[in-house]
Amino acid sequence: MSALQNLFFAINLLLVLTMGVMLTVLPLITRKSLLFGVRIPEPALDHPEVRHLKAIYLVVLAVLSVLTLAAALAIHLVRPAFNLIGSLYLPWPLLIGQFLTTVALWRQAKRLKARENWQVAHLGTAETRSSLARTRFGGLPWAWYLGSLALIVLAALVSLAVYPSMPQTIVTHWNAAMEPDAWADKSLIHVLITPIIALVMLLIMLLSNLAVYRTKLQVSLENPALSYAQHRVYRLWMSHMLGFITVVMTMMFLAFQPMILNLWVPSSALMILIILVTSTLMIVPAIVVSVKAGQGGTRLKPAITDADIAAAGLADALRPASRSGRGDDRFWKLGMFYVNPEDPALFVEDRLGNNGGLNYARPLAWVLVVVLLVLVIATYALSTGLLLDLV
Amino acid sequence: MIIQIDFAGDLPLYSQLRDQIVIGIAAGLLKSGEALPSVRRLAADIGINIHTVNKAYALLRDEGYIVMDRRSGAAVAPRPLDSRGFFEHLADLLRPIAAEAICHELDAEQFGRFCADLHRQVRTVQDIREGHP
Repeated sequence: MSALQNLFFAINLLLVLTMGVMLTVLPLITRKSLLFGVRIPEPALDHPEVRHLKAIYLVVLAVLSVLTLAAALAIHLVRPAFNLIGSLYLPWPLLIGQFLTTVALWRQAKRLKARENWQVAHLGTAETRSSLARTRFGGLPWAWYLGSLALIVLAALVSLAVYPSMPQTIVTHWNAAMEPDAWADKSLIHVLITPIIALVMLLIMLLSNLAVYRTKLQVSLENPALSYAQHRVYRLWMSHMLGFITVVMTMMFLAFQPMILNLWVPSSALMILIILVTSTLMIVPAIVVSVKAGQGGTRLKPAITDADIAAAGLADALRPASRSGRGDDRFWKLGMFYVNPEDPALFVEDRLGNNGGLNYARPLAWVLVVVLLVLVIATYALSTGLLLDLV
Repeated sequence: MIIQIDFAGDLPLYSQLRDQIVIGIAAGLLKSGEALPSVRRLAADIGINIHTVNKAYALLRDEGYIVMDRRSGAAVAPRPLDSRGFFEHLADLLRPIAAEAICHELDAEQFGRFCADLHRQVRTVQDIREGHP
Protein backbone atom coordinates (compact mmCIF):
# COMPACT_ATOMS: atom_id res chain seq x y z
CA MET A 1 0.00 0.00 0.00
CA SER A 2 1.40 3.34 -1.00
CA ALA A 3 1.69 6.35 1.24
CA LEU A 4 -0.85 8.04 -0.98
CA GLN A 5 -3.45 5.35 -0.30
CA ASN A 6 -2.77 5.59 3.43
CA LEU A 7 -3.39 9.31 3.16
CA PHE A 8 -6.68 8.79 1.28
CA PHE A 9 -7.73 6.30 3.95
CA ALA A 10 -6.92 8.84 6.67
CA ILE A 11 -9.00 11.43 4.81
CA ASN A 12 -11.92 8.98 4.59
CA LEU A 13 -11.72 8.27 8.33
CA LEU A 14 -11.67 11.99 9.08
CA LEU A 15 -14.57 12.63 6.70
CA VAL A 16 -16.79 9.88 8.13
CA LEU A 17 -15.88 10.80 11.69
CA THR A 18 -16.66 14.50 11.17
CA MET A 19 -19.97 13.76 9.45
CA GLY A 20 -20.88 11.13 12.03
CA VAL A 21 -20.23 13.50 14.93
CA MET A 22 -22.05 16.41 13.24
CA LEU A 23 -25.13 14.31 12.50
CA THR A 24 -25.11 12.65 15.92
CA VAL A 25 -25.07 15.94 17.83
CA LEU A 26 -27.81 17.54 15.69
CA PRO A 27 -30.56 17.14 18.33
CA LEU A 28 -28.25 18.86 20.82
CA ILE A 29 -27.79 21.97 18.68
CA THR A 30 -31.41 22.26 17.48
CA ARG A 31 -33.77 24.70 19.12
CA LYS A 32 -34.98 23.28 22.39
CA SER A 33 -38.67 23.47 21.62
CA LEU A 34 -38.31 21.19 18.60
CA LEU A 35 -38.26 17.41 18.97
CA PHE A 36 -37.41 15.82 15.59
CA GLY A 37 -39.38 18.54 13.84
CA VAL A 38 -42.33 18.54 16.24
CA ARG A 39 -42.96 21.70 18.22
CA ILE A 40 -43.23 20.85 21.93
CA PRO A 41 -43.58 23.14 24.94
CA GLU A 42 -40.16 23.83 26.50
CA PRO A 43 -41.15 22.39 29.92
CA ALA A 44 -41.84 19.04 28.19
CA LEU A 45 -38.11 18.66 27.51
CA ASP A 46 -37.63 16.86 30.81
CA HIS A 47 -40.30 14.29 30.00
CA PRO A 48 -38.69 10.80 30.17
CA GLU A 49 -40.11 9.83 26.76
CA VAL A 50 -38.48 12.89 25.15
CA ARG A 51 -35.13 11.90 26.61
CA HIS A 52 -35.74 8.33 25.51
CA LEU A 53 -36.33 9.37 21.86
CA LYS A 54 -33.18 11.50 21.88
CA ALA A 55 -31.20 8.60 23.36
CA ILE A 56 -32.44 6.28 20.59
CA TYR A 57 -31.24 8.80 18.01
CA LEU A 58 -27.81 9.10 19.62
CA VAL A 59 -27.34 5.32 19.77
CA VAL A 60 -28.56 4.68 16.19
CA LEU A 61 -26.37 7.43 14.76
CA ALA A 62 -23.33 6.32 16.76
CA VAL A 63 -23.79 2.75 15.47
CA LEU A 64 -24.25 4.03 11.89
CA SER A 65 -21.07 6.08 12.18
CA VAL A 66 -19.08 3.12 13.48
CA LEU A 67 -20.44 0.89 10.67
CA THR A 68 -19.47 3.49 8.07
CA LEU A 69 -15.98 3.73 9.60
CA ALA A 70 -15.79 -0.07 9.32
CA ALA A 71 -16.80 0.20 5.65
CA ALA A 72 -13.99 2.72 5.07
CA LEU A 73 -11.56 0.30 6.71
CA ALA A 74 -12.87 -2.60 4.62
CA ILE A 75 -12.33 -0.62 1.39
CA HIS A 76 -8.80 0.22 2.49
CA LEU A 77 -7.96 -3.40 3.35
CA VAL A 78 -9.62 -5.08 0.36
CA ARG A 79 -9.39 -2.57 -2.51
CA PRO A 80 -7.14 0.33 -1.44
CA ALA A 81 -7.30 1.76 -4.96
CA PHE A 82 -10.96 2.58 -4.32
CA ASN A 83 -10.23 4.79 -1.29
CA LEU A 84 -10.63 8.03 -3.22
CA ILE A 85 -13.94 6.95 -4.78
CA GLY A 86 -14.96 5.90 -1.28
CA SER A 87 -14.76 9.55 -0.17
CA LEU A 88 -17.56 10.30 -2.61
CA TYR A 89 -19.90 7.51 -1.55
CA LEU A 90 -19.15 6.83 2.14
CA PRO A 91 -21.26 9.80 3.37
CA TRP A 92 -24.41 8.45 1.70
CA PRO A 93 -25.28 5.52 3.99
CA LEU A 94 -24.82 7.92 6.91
CA LEU A 95 -27.05 10.60 5.39
CA ILE A 96 -29.77 8.15 4.33
CA GLY A 97 -29.64 6.37 7.70
CA GLN A 98 -29.93 9.70 9.49
CA PHE A 99 -32.92 10.68 7.33
CA LEU A 100 -34.77 7.41 7.99
CA THR A 101 -34.02 7.55 11.74
CA THR A 102 -35.27 11.13 11.92
CA VAL A 103 -38.51 10.33 10.08
CA ALA A 104 -39.17 7.34 12.36
CA LEU A 105 -38.52 9.47 15.47
CA TRP A 106 -40.64 12.33 14.06
CA ARG A 107 -43.59 9.92 13.92
CA GLN A 108 -42.90 8.86 17.51
CA ALA A 109 -42.65 12.49 18.64
CA LYS A 110 -45.91 13.36 16.88
CA ARG A 111 -47.67 10.48 18.64
CA LEU A 112 -46.16 11.48 21.98
CA LYS A 113 -47.36 15.06 21.55
CA ALA A 114 -50.89 13.85 20.78
CA ARG A 115 -50.92 11.34 23.64
CA GLU A 116 -49.69 13.84 26.23
CA ASN A 117 -51.94 16.50 24.66
CA TRP A 118 -49.11 19.03 24.62
CA GLN A 119 -50.40 22.42 23.50
CA VAL A 120 -48.27 25.12 21.96
CA ALA A 121 -49.10 28.53 20.58
CA HIS A 122 -49.01 29.12 16.85
CA LEU A 123 -47.35 32.48 16.53
CA GLY A 124 -45.74 34.44 13.72
CA THR A 125 -42.93 36.53 15.14
CA ALA A 126 -40.76 39.30 13.76
CA GLU A 127 -38.51 41.95 15.22
CA THR A 128 -38.77 45.19 13.29
CA ARG A 129 -35.05 46.04 13.61
CA SER A 130 -33.97 42.54 12.61
CA SER A 131 -36.30 42.59 9.60
CA LEU A 132 -35.09 46.05 8.65
CA ALA A 133 -31.40 45.11 8.95
CA ARG A 134 -31.95 42.07 6.77
CA THR A 135 -33.76 43.99 4.02
CA ARG A 136 -30.67 45.73 2.77
CA PHE A 137 -27.33 44.42 1.53
CA GLY A 138 -25.42 46.58 4.01
CA GLY A 139 -24.79 43.86 6.59
CA LEU A 140 -22.80 41.57 4.29
CA PRO A 141 -19.00 41.47 4.82
CA TRP A 142 -18.14 42.79 1.38
CA ALA A 143 -14.37 42.96 2.06
CA TRP A 144 -14.03 39.15 1.81
CA TYR A 145 -15.96 38.93 -1.45
CA LEU A 146 -14.36 41.97 -3.08
CA GLY A 147 -10.94 40.63 -2.01
CA SER A 148 -11.70 37.28 -3.67
CA LEU A 149 -13.00 39.05 -6.76
CA ALA A 150 -9.80 41.12 -6.95
CA LEU A 151 -7.70 37.91 -6.77
CA ILE A 152 -9.78 36.31 -9.55
CA VAL A 153 -9.55 39.36 -11.81
CA LEU A 154 -5.80 39.57 -11.18
CA ALA A 155 -5.34 35.87 -12.04
CA ALA A 156 -7.41 36.28 -15.23
CA LEU A 157 -5.40 39.35 -16.30
CA VAL A 158 -2.06 37.63 -15.63
CA SER A 159 -3.27 34.58 -17.57
CA LEU A 160 -4.26 36.75 -20.52
CA ALA A 161 -0.89 38.50 -20.41
CA VAL A 162 1.00 35.17 -20.36
CA TYR A 163 -1.20 33.57 -23.05
CA PRO A 164 0.57 34.96 -26.18
CA SER A 165 3.97 33.72 -25.00
CA MET A 166 2.71 30.18 -24.29
CA PRO A 167 3.73 27.46 -26.78
CA GLN A 168 1.05 26.26 -29.22
CA THR A 169 0.88 22.84 -27.55
CA ILE A 170 0.55 22.76 -23.78
CA VAL A 171 0.39 20.09 -21.10
CA THR A 172 -3.17 19.58 -19.87
CA HIS A 173 -2.81 16.61 -17.55
CA TRP A 174 -0.28 15.10 -15.22
CA ASN A 175 -0.18 11.60 -13.74
CA ALA A 176 0.08 10.86 -10.04
CA ALA A 177 3.87 11.33 -10.15
CA MET A 178 3.26 14.73 -11.76
CA GLU A 179 4.72 13.68 -15.13
CA PRO A 180 2.89 15.16 -18.13
CA ASP A 181 0.60 12.60 -19.79
CA ALA A 182 -1.79 14.64 -21.95
CA TRP A 183 -1.31 17.57 -24.31
CA ALA A 184 -3.58 19.87 -26.30
CA ASP A 185 -3.55 23.03 -28.39
CA LYS A 186 -3.69 26.11 -26.20
CA SER A 187 -7.01 27.91 -25.98
CA LEU A 188 -8.33 30.93 -24.12
CA ILE A 189 -11.09 28.92 -22.47
CA HIS A 190 -8.50 26.49 -21.10
CA VAL A 191 -6.46 29.20 -19.39
CA LEU A 192 -9.55 31.06 -18.14
CA ILE A 193 -11.61 28.11 -16.88
CA THR A 194 -10.17 28.22 -13.33
CA PRO A 195 -10.91 31.92 -12.77
CA ILE A 196 -14.39 31.32 -14.20
CA ILE A 197 -15.05 28.39 -11.83
CA ALA A 198 -13.68 30.48 -8.94
CA LEU A 199 -16.06 33.27 -9.93
CA VAL A 200 -19.05 30.89 -9.99
CA MET A 201 -18.05 29.56 -6.54
CA LEU A 202 -17.77 33.16 -5.30
CA LEU A 203 -21.32 33.86 -6.47
CA ILE A 204 -22.62 30.67 -4.84
CA MET A 205 -20.96 31.65 -1.53
CA LEU A 206 -22.38 35.17 -1.79
CA LEU A 207 -25.85 33.70 -2.36
CA SER A 208 -25.42 31.43 0.70
CA ASN A 209 -24.46 34.46 2.75
CA LEU A 210 -27.53 36.28 1.46
CA ALA A 211 -29.64 33.23 2.36
CA VAL A 212 -28.28 33.39 5.94
CA TYR A 213 -29.44 37.01 6.05
CA ARG A 214 -32.85 36.35 4.54
CA THR A 215 -33.65 33.20 6.51
CA LYS A 216 -36.77 33.34 8.62
CA LEU A 217 -35.92 32.37 12.19
CA GLN A 218 -37.48 29.74 14.38
CA VAL A 219 -37.99 32.05 17.32
CA SER A 220 -38.18 30.70 20.87
CA LEU A 221 -41.77 31.22 22.00
CA GLU A 222 -40.55 31.59 25.58
CA ASN A 223 -37.92 34.24 24.94
CA PRO A 224 -38.10 35.86 21.52
CA ALA A 225 -35.92 38.84 22.53
CA LEU A 226 -33.05 36.46 23.25
CA SER A 227 -33.56 34.68 19.91
CA TYR A 228 -33.15 37.92 17.97
CA ALA A 229 -30.10 38.98 19.97
CA GLN A 230 -28.55 35.55 19.35
CA HIS A 231 -29.30 35.69 15.66
CA ARG A 232 -27.65 39.12 15.36
CA VAL A 233 -24.36 37.62 16.61
CA TYR A 234 -24.87 34.43 14.61
CA ARG A 235 -25.36 36.38 11.36
CA LEU A 236 -22.10 38.18 11.96
CA TRP A 237 -20.18 34.93 12.68
CA MET A 238 -21.68 33.12 9.71
CA SER A 239 -20.99 35.99 7.31
CA HIS A 240 -17.33 36.20 8.25
CA MET A 241 -17.00 32.41 8.20
CA LEU A 242 -18.52 32.23 4.70
CA GLY A 243 -16.40 35.20 3.56
CA PHE A 244 -13.23 33.58 4.91
CA ILE A 245 -14.06 30.26 3.20
CA THR A 246 -14.62 32.14 -0.06
CA VAL A 247 -11.15 33.66 0.11
CA VAL A 248 -9.53 30.29 0.95
CA MET A 249 -11.48 28.54 -1.82
CA THR A 250 -10.49 31.21 -4.34
CA MET A 251 -6.83 30.89 -3.36
CA MET A 252 -7.06 27.10 -3.65
CA PHE A 253 -8.41 27.31 -7.20
CA LEU A 254 -5.93 29.96 -8.25
CA ALA A 255 -3.00 28.01 -6.76
CA PHE A 256 -3.35 25.65 -9.72
CA GLN A 257 -3.34 28.45 -12.28
CA PRO A 258 0.49 28.51 -12.72
CA MET A 259 0.26 24.79 -13.46
CA ILE A 260 -2.47 25.32 -16.06
CA LEU A 261 -0.36 28.05 -17.65
CA ASN A 262 2.55 25.54 -17.77
CA LEU A 263 4.69 27.98 -15.79
CA TRP A 264 5.38 25.76 -12.83
CA VAL A 265 4.52 22.20 -11.79
CA PRO A 266 4.32 21.48 -8.08
CA SER A 267 5.44 18.12 -6.69
CA SER A 268 2.59 15.74 -5.88
CA ALA A 269 3.39 16.13 -2.18
CA LEU A 270 3.02 19.91 -2.44
CA MET A 271 -0.26 19.50 -4.33
CA ILE A 272 -1.69 17.24 -1.64
CA LEU A 273 -0.44 19.65 1.00
CA ILE A 274 -2.22 22.57 -0.70
CA ILE A 275 -5.47 20.60 -0.90
CA LEU A 276 -5.19 19.39 2.70
CA VAL A 277 -4.38 22.81 4.15
CA THR A 278 -7.09 24.62 2.22
CA SER A 279 -9.76 22.04 2.97
CA THR A 280 -8.86 22.13 6.66
CA LEU A 281 -9.10 25.93 6.57
CA MET A 282 -12.55 25.59 5.03
CA ILE A 283 -13.96 22.76 7.16
CA VAL A 284 -12.67 23.70 10.62
CA PRO A 285 -14.24 27.19 10.81
CA ALA A 286 -17.54 25.78 9.52
CA ILE A 287 -17.59 23.11 12.24
CA VAL A 288 -16.45 25.49 14.98
CA VAL A 289 -19.12 28.06 14.13
CA SER A 290 -21.96 25.55 13.82
CA VAL A 291 -21.08 23.76 17.07
CA LYS A 292 -20.27 26.87 19.12
CA ALA A 293 -23.18 28.94 17.84
CA GLY A 294 -25.81 26.22 17.48
CA GLN A 295 -28.71 26.58 15.08
CA GLY A 296 -29.40 30.25 14.45
CA GLY A 297 -27.13 31.12 17.41
CA THR A 298 -29.16 29.19 20.02
CA ARG A 299 -26.04 28.28 21.98
CA LEU A 300 -24.76 31.85 22.13
CA LYS A 301 -25.14 34.05 25.15
CA PRO A 302 -25.32 37.52 23.63
CA ALA A 303 -25.28 40.62 25.78
CA ILE A 304 -28.80 41.87 26.20
CA THR A 305 -29.43 44.46 28.87
CA ASP A 306 -31.84 44.03 31.76
CA ALA A 307 -33.79 46.98 30.36
CA ASP A 308 -34.23 45.07 27.09
CA ILE A 309 -35.50 41.99 28.92
CA ALA A 310 -37.77 44.08 31.14
CA ALA A 311 -39.15 45.97 28.16
CA ALA A 312 -39.66 42.74 26.20
CA GLY A 313 -41.47 41.20 29.16
CA LEU A 314 -43.70 44.23 29.64
CA ALA A 315 -44.33 44.52 25.91
CA ASP A 316 -45.34 40.88 26.02
CA ALA A 317 -47.91 41.76 28.66
CA LEU A 318 -49.40 44.35 26.29
CA ARG A 319 -50.37 41.63 23.82
CA PRO A 320 -53.54 39.60 24.06
CA ALA A 321 -52.80 36.18 25.57
CA SER A 322 -52.06 33.68 22.82
CA ARG A 323 -54.23 30.65 22.26
CA SER A 324 -52.67 27.23 22.57
CA GLY A 325 -53.21 24.48 20.08
CA ARG A 326 -51.28 22.15 17.84
CA GLY A 327 -48.92 24.90 16.71
CA ASP A 328 -47.39 25.11 13.25
CA ASP A 329 -46.59 21.40 12.81
CA ARG A 330 -48.95 21.02 9.87
CA PHE A 331 -46.69 23.16 7.65
CA TRP A 332 -43.75 20.79 8.26
CA LYS A 333 -44.05 17.68 6.12
CA LEU A 334 -42.16 14.74 7.70
CA GLY A 335 -41.11 17.28 10.31
CA MET A 336 -38.49 18.67 7.93
CA PHE A 337 -39.99 20.10 4.72
CA TYR A 338 -41.72 23.46 5.11
CA VAL A 339 -44.72 23.96 2.80
CA ASN A 340 -46.72 27.12 3.48
CA PRO A 341 -48.28 28.86 0.45
CA GLU A 342 -49.31 31.89 2.55
CA ASP A 343 -45.71 32.57 3.57
CA PRO A 344 -43.65 34.67 1.12
CA ALA A 345 -40.38 33.54 2.77
CA LEU A 346 -38.13 31.40 0.56
CA PHE A 347 -35.37 30.58 3.05
CA VAL A 348 -36.47 29.33 6.45
CA GLU A 349 -34.53 27.89 9.33
CA ASP A 350 -35.11 24.15 9.25
CA ARG A 351 -36.26 22.21 12.27
CA LEU A 352 -33.48 19.64 12.57
CA GLY A 353 -30.46 21.80 13.23
CA ASN A 354 -29.09 22.00 9.67
CA ASN A 355 -29.74 25.76 9.44
CA GLY A 356 -30.83 25.71 5.81
CA GLY A 357 -34.36 25.06 4.64
CA LEU A 358 -36.71 26.18 1.93
CA ASN A 359 -40.40 26.98 1.71
CA TYR A 360 -41.39 24.34 -0.84
CA ALA A 361 -44.62 26.20 -1.59
CA ARG A 362 -42.50 28.73 -3.52
CA PRO A 363 -41.68 27.77 -7.11
CA LEU A 364 -38.17 29.24 -6.73
CA ALA A 365 -37.47 26.64 -4.04
CA TRP A 366 -37.94 23.88 -6.62
CA VAL A 367 -35.73 25.71 -9.10
CA LEU A 368 -33.00 25.79 -6.45
CA VAL A 369 -33.50 22.10 -5.64
CA VAL A 370 -33.24 21.13 -9.33
CA VAL A 371 -30.12 23.28 -9.84
CA LEU A 372 -28.55 21.74 -6.73
CA LEU A 373 -29.45 18.20 -7.83
CA VAL A 374 -27.99 18.78 -11.33
CA LEU A 375 -24.81 20.18 -9.76
CA VAL A 376 -24.46 17.25 -7.35
CA ILE A 377 -25.17 14.60 -10.00
CA ALA A 378 -22.81 16.25 -12.51
CA THR A 379 -20.05 16.50 -9.88
CA TYR A 380 -20.54 12.86 -8.94
CA ALA A 381 -20.62 11.61 -12.55
CA LEU A 382 -17.51 13.63 -13.45
CA SER A 383 -15.44 12.75 -10.40
CA THR A 384 -16.47 9.09 -10.44
CA GLY A 385 -15.42 8.84 -14.09
CA LEU A 386 -12.11 10.59 -13.42
CA LEU A 387 -11.34 8.48 -10.36
CA LEU A 388 -12.26 5.20 -12.05
CA ASP A 389 -9.73 6.12 -14.76
CA LEU A 390 -7.09 6.47 -12.06
CA VAL A 391 -7.96 3.04 -10.65
CA MET B 1 -39.89 45.93 18.66
CA ILE B 2 -41.01 42.32 18.63
CA ILE B 3 -44.23 41.69 16.75
CA GLN B 4 -46.14 38.52 17.47
CA ILE B 5 -49.17 37.44 15.50
CA ASP B 6 -51.39 34.71 16.93
CA PHE B 7 -52.73 32.54 14.11
CA ALA B 8 -55.27 31.10 16.54
CA GLY B 9 -56.34 34.56 17.76
CA ASP B 10 -59.81 36.12 17.49
CA LEU B 11 -58.85 39.25 15.55
CA PRO B 12 -57.93 39.17 11.85
CA LEU B 13 -54.17 39.05 11.26
CA TYR B 14 -53.94 42.54 9.70
CA SER B 15 -55.70 44.14 12.65
CA GLN B 16 -53.47 42.28 15.15
CA LEU B 17 -50.47 43.71 13.28
CA ARG B 18 -51.99 47.20 13.20
CA ASP B 19 -52.78 47.09 16.94
CA GLN B 20 -49.28 45.94 17.87
CA ILE B 21 -47.59 48.70 15.90
CA VAL B 22 -49.83 51.33 17.53
CA ILE B 23 -49.05 49.88 20.98
CA GLY B 24 -45.35 49.78 20.04
CA ILE B 25 -45.44 53.47 19.17
CA ALA B 26 -47.32 54.38 22.36
CA ALA B 27 -44.98 52.29 24.53
CA GLY B 28 -41.88 53.82 22.96
CA LEU B 29 -40.76 50.52 21.46
CA LEU B 30 -40.94 52.26 18.09
CA LYS B 31 -39.48 55.78 18.13
CA SER B 32 -40.95 58.65 16.19
CA GLY B 33 -39.33 58.68 12.74
CA GLU B 34 -37.98 55.13 13.11
CA ALA B 35 -37.85 53.17 9.86
CA LEU B 36 -40.09 50.12 9.55
CA PRO B 37 -39.24 46.99 7.56
CA SER B 38 -40.46 46.58 4.00
CA VAL B 39 -43.84 44.92 3.49
CA ARG B 40 -42.22 41.90 1.84
CA ARG B 41 -39.55 41.33 4.52
CA LEU B 42 -42.00 41.73 7.40
CA ALA B 43 -44.49 39.36 5.74
CA ALA B 44 -41.73 36.78 5.16
CA ASP B 45 -40.43 37.05 8.74
CA ILE B 46 -43.85 36.74 10.35
CA GLY B 47 -44.95 34.14 7.82
CA ILE B 48 -48.11 35.84 6.58
CA ASN B 49 -49.36 36.96 3.20
CA ILE B 50 -47.88 40.17 1.77
CA HIS B 51 -51.40 41.58 1.31
CA THR B 52 -52.02 41.24 5.05
CA VAL B 53 -49.03 43.45 5.88
CA ASN B 54 -49.97 45.83 3.06
CA LYS B 55 -53.45 46.20 4.52
CA ALA B 56 -52.09 46.90 8.03
CA TYR B 57 -49.57 49.45 6.73
CA ALA B 58 -52.23 51.19 4.58
CA LEU B 59 -54.55 51.37 7.60
CA LEU B 60 -51.78 52.79 9.81
CA ARG B 61 -50.93 55.35 7.14
CA ASP B 62 -54.57 56.43 6.79
CA GLU B 63 -54.80 56.77 10.57
CA GLY B 64 -51.63 58.88 10.59
CA TYR B 65 -49.41 56.57 12.68
CA ILE B 66 -46.92 55.87 9.94
CA VAL B 67 -45.76 57.63 6.82
CA MET B 68 -44.95 55.83 3.62
CA ASP B 69 -42.51 56.95 0.99
CA ARG B 70 -41.97 55.20 -2.30
CA ARG B 71 -38.22 55.41 -1.99
CA SER B 72 -37.36 55.22 1.72
CA GLY B 73 -40.22 52.89 2.70
CA ALA B 74 -42.40 53.07 5.80
CA ALA B 75 -41.51 54.95 8.99
CA VAL B 76 -43.20 55.92 12.25
CA ALA B 77 -44.88 59.30 11.78
CA PRO B 78 -43.30 62.28 13.55
CA ARG B 79 -45.17 63.72 16.54
CA PRO B 80 -47.42 65.46 17.25
CA LEU B 81 -50.05 63.52 15.36
CA ASP B 82 -52.98 65.30 13.79
CA SER B 83 -55.67 64.82 16.44
CA ARG B 84 -58.62 66.44 14.66
CA GLY B 85 -61.59 64.12 14.83
CA PHE B 86 -59.79 61.82 17.28
CA PHE B 87 -62.41 62.17 20.03
CA GLU B 88 -65.21 61.18 17.68
CA HIS B 89 -63.13 58.19 16.58
CA LEU B 90 -62.36 57.22 20.21
CA ALA B 91 -66.03 57.58 21.17
CA ASP B 92 -67.05 55.28 18.31
CA LEU B 93 -64.51 52.68 19.46
CA LEU B 94 -65.31 52.90 23.16
CA ARG B 95 -69.12 53.10 23.04
CA PRO B 96 -69.76 49.39 22.36
CA ILE B 97 -67.06 48.50 24.91
CA ALA B 98 -68.69 50.75 27.52
CA ALA B 99 -71.96 49.04 26.70
CA GLU B 100 -70.36 45.62 27.23
CA ALA B 101 -69.00 46.86 30.57
CA ILE B 102 -72.50 47.93 31.60
CA CYS B 103 -73.88 44.51 30.62
CA HIS B 104 -71.25 43.00 32.91
CA GLU B 105 -72.33 45.25 35.80
CA LEU B 106 -69.29 47.57 35.82
CA ASP B 107 -70.08 51.07 37.09
CA ALA B 108 -68.64 54.25 35.57
CA GLU B 109 -65.89 54.51 38.17
CA GLN B 110 -64.72 50.89 37.72
CA PHE B 111 -64.76 51.27 33.95
CA GLY B 112 -62.80 54.51 34.21
CA ARG B 113 -60.25 52.95 36.56
CA PHE B 114 -59.83 49.99 34.22
CA CYS B 115 -59.12 52.31 31.28
CA ALA B 116 -56.67 54.36 33.36
CA ASP B 117 -54.81 51.19 34.43
CA LEU B 118 -54.37 50.11 30.82
CA HIS B 119 -53.17 53.61 29.93
CA ARG B 120 -50.63 53.41 32.77
CA GLN B 121 -49.51 49.90 31.70
CA VAL B 122 -48.53 51.13 28.24
CA ARG B 123 -46.84 54.23 29.72
CA THR B 124 -44.78 52.12 32.13
CA VAL B 125 -43.06 50.36 29.24
CA GLN B 126 -42.24 53.73 27.73
CA ASP B 127 -40.78 54.94 31.03
CA ILE B 128 -38.61 51.83 31.37
CA ARG B 129 -37.43 52.20 27.78
CA GLU B 130 -36.37 55.76 28.52
CA GLY B 131 -34.59 54.74 31.72
CA HIS B 132 -36.70 56.45 34.39
CA PRO B 133 -39.11 53.92 35.90
